[in-house]
Amino acid sequence: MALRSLVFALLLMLVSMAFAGGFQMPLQGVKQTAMGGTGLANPLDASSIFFNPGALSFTKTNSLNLNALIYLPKGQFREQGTNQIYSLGSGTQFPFAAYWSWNTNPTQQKWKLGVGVYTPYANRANWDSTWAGRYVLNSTKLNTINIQPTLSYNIGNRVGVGAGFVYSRAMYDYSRVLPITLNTNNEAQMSLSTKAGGYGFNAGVLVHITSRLDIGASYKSAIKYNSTNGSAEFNVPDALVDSFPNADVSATLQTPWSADVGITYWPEPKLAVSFDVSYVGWRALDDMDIDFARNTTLLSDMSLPNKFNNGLTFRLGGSYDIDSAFTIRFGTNLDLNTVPNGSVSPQLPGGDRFGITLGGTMRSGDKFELDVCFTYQETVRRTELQAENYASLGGTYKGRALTIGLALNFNVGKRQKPVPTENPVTP
Amino acid sequence: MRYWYVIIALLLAGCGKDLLEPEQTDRGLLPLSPFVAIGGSETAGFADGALHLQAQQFSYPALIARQLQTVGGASFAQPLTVDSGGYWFSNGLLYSKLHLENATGCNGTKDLMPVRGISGAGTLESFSSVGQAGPYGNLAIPFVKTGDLNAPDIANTNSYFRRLGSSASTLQQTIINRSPRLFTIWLGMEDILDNAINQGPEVAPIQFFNNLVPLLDSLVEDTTAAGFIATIPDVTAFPFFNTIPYNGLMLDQAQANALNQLYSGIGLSFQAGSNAYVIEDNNAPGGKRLIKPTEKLMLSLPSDSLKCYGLGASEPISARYVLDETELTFVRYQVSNYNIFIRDLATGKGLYVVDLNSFYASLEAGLRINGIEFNNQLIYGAFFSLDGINPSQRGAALIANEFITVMNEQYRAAIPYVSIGTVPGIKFP
Repeated sequence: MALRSLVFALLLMLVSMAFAGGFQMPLQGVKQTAMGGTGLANPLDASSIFFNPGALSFTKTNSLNLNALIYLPKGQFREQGTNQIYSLGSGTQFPFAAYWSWNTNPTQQKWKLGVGVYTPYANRANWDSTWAGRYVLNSTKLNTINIQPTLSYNIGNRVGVGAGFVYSRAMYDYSRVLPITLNTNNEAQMSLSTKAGGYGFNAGVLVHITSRLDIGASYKSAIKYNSTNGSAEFNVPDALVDSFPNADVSATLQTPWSADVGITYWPEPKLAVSFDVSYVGWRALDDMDIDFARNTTLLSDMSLPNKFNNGLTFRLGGSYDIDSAFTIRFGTNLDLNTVPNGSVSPQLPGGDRFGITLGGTMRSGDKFELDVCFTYQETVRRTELQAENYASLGGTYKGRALTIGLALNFNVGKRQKPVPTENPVTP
Repeated sequence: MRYWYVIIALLLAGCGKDLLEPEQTDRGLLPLSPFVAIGGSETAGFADGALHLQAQQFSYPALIARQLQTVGGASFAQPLTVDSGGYWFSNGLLYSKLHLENATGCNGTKDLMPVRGISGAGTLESFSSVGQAGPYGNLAIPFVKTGDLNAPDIANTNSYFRRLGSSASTLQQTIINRSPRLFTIWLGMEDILDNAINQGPEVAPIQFFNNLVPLLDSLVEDTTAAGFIATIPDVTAFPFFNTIPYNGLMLDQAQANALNQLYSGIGLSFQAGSNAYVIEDNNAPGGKRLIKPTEKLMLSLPSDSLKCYGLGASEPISARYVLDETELTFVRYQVSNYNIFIRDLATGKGLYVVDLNSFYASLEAGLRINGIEFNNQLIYGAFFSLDGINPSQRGAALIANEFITVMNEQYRAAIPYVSIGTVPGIKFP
């Protein structure tokens, strides 16, 4: 019954897709997303490759786990003092995650190999070419994709440790309008496009304290990308073509490290409650330097500031098994603002963000699972004063986002029960 | 299971709504109409060396009026010109406005520079009286000096005034006939510029003061009227006086040798590379000397003559294109003393001061707004129009916002500011 209502609810939500909006959250597994984003201390399925490589060895199946999500952000900006309100254009993103886990004996809990392909960082700010901040930023698009081969090892069915090597590709596009008007009344524009690869790792540990309590920790490294073959394109008046040469650019991109801890408690076998805390090293990011291969009197190298405080995210989630075929999931999260006053940019305005999440799983025996998730996120208003802002852009931002996700699991072996009942370890 | 629908209904309601709502706007205690703007060229919408439609539409009084309309203000009439190349009268001829052109100079190099359009782009007929479309809120007259306020012959001396077709014979009476309850005044700059650029008569600060008193006395007879008077910027910082560098004379060794020989009698020396221009100075030996780094050349100087025909080298630059040290000191003295009187008048007549002098001073260091850099540079500085004296349309928007700041402060109003990005920028070819 619950599931039928949930599916109906999700269908209803699809109707309002066109209005959606917001910013970003970890969306690397539909089950976890439905549970407020928790999953660090809960070996849910092969998606543990991302959430906690140490938990992978506790899974009892060889699995293929395919997650596809739609992220629908909505954002508005009210320019300081002028009462002009501008809206973000469509920023729809399609995060996905695919995981595959394998052992010669699926139910064996000694070790497990896996590989994950997922999109950990993404951002899209698609303001239009007439909005008040167009000379700071018109549109930006960041996509990353990671591939992570992983080995997880289990010690005495009590401690799981795991680590994965991460190869990542990042693609970053940036455009802004230049305050130069053409005779056609259009304005000049600069567009940058870069892509690059980077390396990192993802390691974690899960400790099975009692039959009802797991704790976990993981660390995902920062990744640095050096792009040397980016391109800069300018659409400028004929008279200024020589001052804005289309040329190569090099740029450095970075994504932050993240140190996470989590706990899962099973008050009863059907009910799991998780609480995760994530600490993200935004502060260590350097400004993004963009080096044009050719500088002119009108074109000097740019530095896009990355001035953040470290991030702290609290996630609370749970699941309840209605019967052997249906599980419902629910959760909430709070993502504290990382952007200090003065550094608010239309790319990522920051602000405390609150989310509620719902979802469920439908099973057919041990072989197949279908997961759905739905999240709603609200970013509190963020007001930046023009006099303080690094780019002299003052105003109030407000964001909101919906996420809808669907996952398919194909399992070989025995599905992990929420509560490991066999051989409970007593401390 | 009914609660699902409740949650969904709430979420849908939340998603359909706008995220932000407009802020509360309020006229406060400010009387809104009739609104009359009094001033010279920059107030009338004279920019790029001509009175032209776009500059009028985005003149700072028009922009203030547009913002006042969001709090209940009335429509604001301006003596608009037809959409053509603009109008500038000089020596009985009609010229159109300046525009940027990547023009090939006499020396064969291409330079992006302001160029006057073909003269006669409009005709005197198209500039005929527009009196029937009045009465106007923008009663600023290009080039009007404080002495013109009560001049009985202004219709003969200023074709921009004549065009208004005012039934009153003087500008002051034309203004008073509107019985303004809200007025802005920015006068005095034309008095100073006319003297500095055109060798017009010196108007002593006390004379400036006396010229304004009768007008202000009449305007404040209505004690409920709100008046705002702006201070005068340091005009010597305008790009008109700062675009041609004092040392722009580029010579090779042979040219330097020739000039050294030419000026050996009065001891001027030149070397290969960049040199100070030669200017006329009656007090100098031989009536010629090199211009000093602190002295300024005017933008009206014929640039082809400078580049190719020996002006500033074998041929000294006429003193009328130069602001020498004495003149600079005098101009700055005039500005600061006019401003003292402006503050006196404000106090005496109950007007509020809009300190455009300090606003313009902040341009010197550069002013960034929404990612646009405003400064004193011609063309790229965004604030000044191509004539180097009058503000561009975006410059006018910044000035309008300075007035609105004072209106909001003094009359407990919340009039929204002009969004700079909605105002057109300088066009490049």
